[in-house]
Amino acid sequence: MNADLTKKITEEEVKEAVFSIGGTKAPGPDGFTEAFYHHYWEDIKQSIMAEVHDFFEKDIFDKSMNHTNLCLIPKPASPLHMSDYRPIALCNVSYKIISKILVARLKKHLSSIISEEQAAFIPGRVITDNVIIAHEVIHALKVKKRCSNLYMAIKTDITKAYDRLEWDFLQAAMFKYGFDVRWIEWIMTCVRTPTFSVNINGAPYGFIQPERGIRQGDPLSPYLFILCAKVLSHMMKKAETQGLIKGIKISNKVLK
Amino acid sequence: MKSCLAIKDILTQYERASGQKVNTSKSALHFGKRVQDTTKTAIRRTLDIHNDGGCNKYLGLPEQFGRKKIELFQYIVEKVREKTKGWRNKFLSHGGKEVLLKAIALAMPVYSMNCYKLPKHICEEIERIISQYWWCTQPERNAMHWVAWERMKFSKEEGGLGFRDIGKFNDALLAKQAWRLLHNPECLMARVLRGRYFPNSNVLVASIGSQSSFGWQSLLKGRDLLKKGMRYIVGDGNSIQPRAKTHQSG
Repeated sequence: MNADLTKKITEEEVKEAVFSIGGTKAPGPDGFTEAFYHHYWEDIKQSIMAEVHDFFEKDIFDKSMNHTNLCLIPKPASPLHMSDYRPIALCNVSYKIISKILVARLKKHLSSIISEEQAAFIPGRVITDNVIIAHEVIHALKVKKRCSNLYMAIKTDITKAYDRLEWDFLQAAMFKYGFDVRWIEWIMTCVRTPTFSVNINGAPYGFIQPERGIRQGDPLSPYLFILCAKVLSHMMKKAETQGLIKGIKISNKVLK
Repeated sequence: MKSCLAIKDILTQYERASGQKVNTSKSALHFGKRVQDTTKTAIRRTLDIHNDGGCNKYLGLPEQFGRKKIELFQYIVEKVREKTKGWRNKFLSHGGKEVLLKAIALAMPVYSMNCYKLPKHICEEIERIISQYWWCTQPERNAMHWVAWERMKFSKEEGGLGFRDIGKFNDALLAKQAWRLLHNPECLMARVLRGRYFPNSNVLVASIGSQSSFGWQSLLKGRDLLKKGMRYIVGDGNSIQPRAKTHQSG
């Protein structure tokens, strides 16, 4: 796995990354849209390749490239608190290209790392499966005698899931999964370097240096998040093998 | 309960390590039907979660269905109604309306239809709203429907406008789920369902059984549609029951 993750970047990969970004998304602070990159691909190919090469081979990364505009999207109709907003990050396309390359590589190996209860964001798994399973479990809690006596289901909601994630935790988790040091280094550069300005009434304000959290809007974030969430489900599994909690049995098969 | 404390432990440990926080006001507990009230309150207190689950939504779909399924799915109808209401004051050409309806209004129920069979009443109501929007010329007034909606569903070659039949589309989506069951029998969903409903047979011959869930009942409807278009290819003959009725017509 590690050999595949850290192998040399090919032009093919870069091109795929560039064209996998939707053309009509909002641009980052530098103002270049994806459509620009698509249209002038032949002309700017060389410089993009050089940039990508710098990042992956020489570990050179211009921090200003990772400057990000935050767009605050209100969650309820009339927001009162800061927490009522969802901060969406508008990254530069030049950064997104690197991030997309990383994602494309990571994706292939996710299904071997992440346990099968996690269905979102993993190719080949479908979220509706989980809906059906949850539905089945809850139904069993109602009608099956053996289940309805002793079991319960917990639904947890995690506040500001992306924004609160600790970087050290992410790093430690990836280390535990056995990722190559080089790979972790790449990811952590992407995660640690951003700086933010907040878009208010159409103009960016302020300059924020984050100390934790991953961005909503960075193609990498969902994958990093499920890597972290895996830790929780792993802890649950461990507790189950230790006999601390007991999985519900809706038939003769075991479940969490 | 001991396991409850264990869970609490795990959650706090995870919170500390990852910096994440469980939002207790948005989390919920769902107990088995026959769990005693005293244990319930004890658990609620230890976990500090006071909401009751079961009647909420999981991943955007209702978790549980009672007898009144129409009410539970009513929210889809409301959503479609809200959307089309907003479009009414715009003066759009017929072509524009067609695109709006096909791309947005008809797509709204799709996610729910992936898992569940919508009640007929809901499908009809959605179609009614759509057709009302199609024919109306002035906001806030009903209009004459010059062509039956049934005919509008025909494809354009056949003289209709190619609007989807929601009910049939629903069946098709469910058939796809059933096909997934048949095709990857080792995925988690397939294993769960097999354990619960057809431990010794396969999807094609499984029956509804007693006390089955709404999701399973829906899936079987998709399965029935699937069966119509399927045939066995005789291999080693292991999975074919020679006396079953189904093989004789194919």
